[in-house]
Amino acid sequence: MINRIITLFFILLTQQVFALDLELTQGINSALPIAINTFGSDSAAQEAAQVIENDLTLSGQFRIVSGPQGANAQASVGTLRQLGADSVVTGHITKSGNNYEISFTLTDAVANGATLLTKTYQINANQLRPLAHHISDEIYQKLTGERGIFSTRIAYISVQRSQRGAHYSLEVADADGHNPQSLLVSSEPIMSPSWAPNGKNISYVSFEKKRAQIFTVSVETGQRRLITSFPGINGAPAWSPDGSQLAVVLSKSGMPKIYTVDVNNGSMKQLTFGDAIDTEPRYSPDGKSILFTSGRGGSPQIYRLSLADGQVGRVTFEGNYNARASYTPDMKNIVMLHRDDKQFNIGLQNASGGPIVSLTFSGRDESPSVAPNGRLVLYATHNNDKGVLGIVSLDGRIRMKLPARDGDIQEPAWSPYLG
Amino acid sequence: MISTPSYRKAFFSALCLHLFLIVMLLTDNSSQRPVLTAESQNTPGMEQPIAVTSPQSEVVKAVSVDNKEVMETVNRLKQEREQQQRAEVNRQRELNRQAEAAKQQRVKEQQQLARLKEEANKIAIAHKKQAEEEKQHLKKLAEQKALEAKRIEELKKQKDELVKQQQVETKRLADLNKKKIAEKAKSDKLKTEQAAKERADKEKADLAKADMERKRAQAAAAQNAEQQARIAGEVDKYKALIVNAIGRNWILPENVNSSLTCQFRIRLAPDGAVLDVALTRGSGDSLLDRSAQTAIYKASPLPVPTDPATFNMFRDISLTVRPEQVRG
Repeated sequence: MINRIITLFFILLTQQVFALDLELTQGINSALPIAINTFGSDSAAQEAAQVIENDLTLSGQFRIVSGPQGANAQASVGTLRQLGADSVVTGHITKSGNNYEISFTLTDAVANGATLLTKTYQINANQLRPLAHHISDEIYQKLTGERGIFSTRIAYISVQRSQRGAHYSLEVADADGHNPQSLLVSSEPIMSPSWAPNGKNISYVSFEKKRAQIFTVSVETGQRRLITSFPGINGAPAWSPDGSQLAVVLSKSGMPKIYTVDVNNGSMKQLTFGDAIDTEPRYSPDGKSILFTSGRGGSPQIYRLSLADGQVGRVTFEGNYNARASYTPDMKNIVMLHRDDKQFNIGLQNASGGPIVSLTFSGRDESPSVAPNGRLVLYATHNNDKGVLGIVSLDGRIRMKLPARDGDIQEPAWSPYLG
Repeated sequence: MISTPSYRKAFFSALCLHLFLIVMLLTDNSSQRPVLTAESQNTPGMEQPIAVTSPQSEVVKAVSVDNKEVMETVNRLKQEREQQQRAEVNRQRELNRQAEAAKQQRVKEQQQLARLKEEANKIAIAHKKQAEEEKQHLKKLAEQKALEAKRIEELKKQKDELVKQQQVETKRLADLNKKKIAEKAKSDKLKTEQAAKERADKEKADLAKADMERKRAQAAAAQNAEQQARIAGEVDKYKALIVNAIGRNWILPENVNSSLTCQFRIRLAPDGAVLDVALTRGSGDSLLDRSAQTAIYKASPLPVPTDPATFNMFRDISLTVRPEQVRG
């Protein structure tokens, strides 16, 4: 009797179509493997492929899978999948006169080569790098769902020191460090570049008249405007999110205090008061508060000023030196310069409080600037006593240095999304 | 006497009359206002007619005449006459001059008129020429338009031809498609027939096996119970192995919403190779769906039981994906 029941049970089991229900809840956090097939063999094709490769590596979310060794022709999707790529970028460049026609295709190497994205462009020869950056943005957005930062730019101060003295230059370059352009050259120090929210102007401090003055310069035309020129300190300009105000540090009333200057009509308002030093103001992305460094607690720490009611609250409590703080765009975290035991590193703290985590470890890092996608931090560090720029991801996994240039590079600032 | 009535009447009348006369004589009845009397009317500008005296009769009256007076009068008369003559001459000259001036004016006006007429003529000629040119221009435009119309006709004819060709092409493509669909239907039918045959064979085999087992089970009831327990254990083990294999290959998108789920149906070959992955319920986030699908393909071949009986349970499995945890 029981045997009959058992066999009946087996028969029933085999008749079912969906035999088993499985549940998957755990995955891994890893870089997406992607392969860039060569775009061609001429120099333009190689440059385009190289730019895309560098960009995706810079993001920290991709791992480049190289094609079969020594292959100049394009490898098949199947081969690249064998080598471990989940997605493949294939491209073509044809040249006609001074113009290029570039097309690329992003295929899902795993799901039978389904095409995820394909586009064609016609451009002038001198727009090759910007277009390659744009293609990287498209690929990045398709595979991660987030907006790419490869068409943004960075501003920084370059210092060439020689026997005759130092030579300062305010420069703007692509996010990968290429294509630098000089906006101001001076034999006196230039400091604290800061991008306007529309990406068209940069404010900075210049000592060209042997004293501090704050200017704004138009990135496209190079025209500049004097904003403040008070006796004493004029420093650390920071733009408000609507681009109408600049928060600045002035010491005209004795101690360095934070003021706002209206960019259009020049009207000023004092924001912080008291006998301590207040400096390095930075607006929050929602424009409702300002983070600043203040010594009012005895040592430099980060404080937060609420613009609606003027209340000031302390933000950092760990370590004996915290400065140059700014919010990430989602306002969940604060990135700052953090000193722990004489080591200056880039620190990260949750906006609502908590411990400060060090993102870098060289001990000589400073001037952090957060990327507009909130994932990467650009900062100044040293490599063999030379000032260079570094990038670290907020989760600390990716760390890299930008290509070195002549002179010392310092005080970087990442532009907002452009165009 | 007064008492007589007639005497009385006469007396009073005489008295009244005398009084009246006295009054009249004593008072001044002249009015105050000056009164114009028409004694002599003076109408200005009109010559007073000179009274023409009738010629006196011819009576010679010798009168002594003063020669000096006569000479003076004669001279005076002569001077007056000369003056009059001069005045006349001047007047005549004046009139002549005016006549000359008028004549010259007239000549000038005539000349001007002649000039204006010439100009009018020239303008008329110019207008005529312009009209001619316009006419020719219009003619040329009309010719061009005719040419254009002809060209448009030709182009339209070409376009019609092209459209006809396109229609032929699309018909051909439709025929090809139909053929393709027919072939696909045929192959699908073959596949389903094969699957049905397989299933039918399997059923037959299973039935035969069940028969045999029933016979054997009668001899060893305990052995059957043990086998069932073992298979259940195997199923659980392989379920865990498969989930681990897929999870190891599943790269979670960052910032994914952990409340989303999606469901897949996976078909496996006996060696564990993934034959087909179908999304039966999407999560709404295409990135999450694609990441899970990629993981399933990458994990192929999956670990499956070697025992055919147990493997049959793994031919078609349903996988629910829920990104709750992230490892490393």
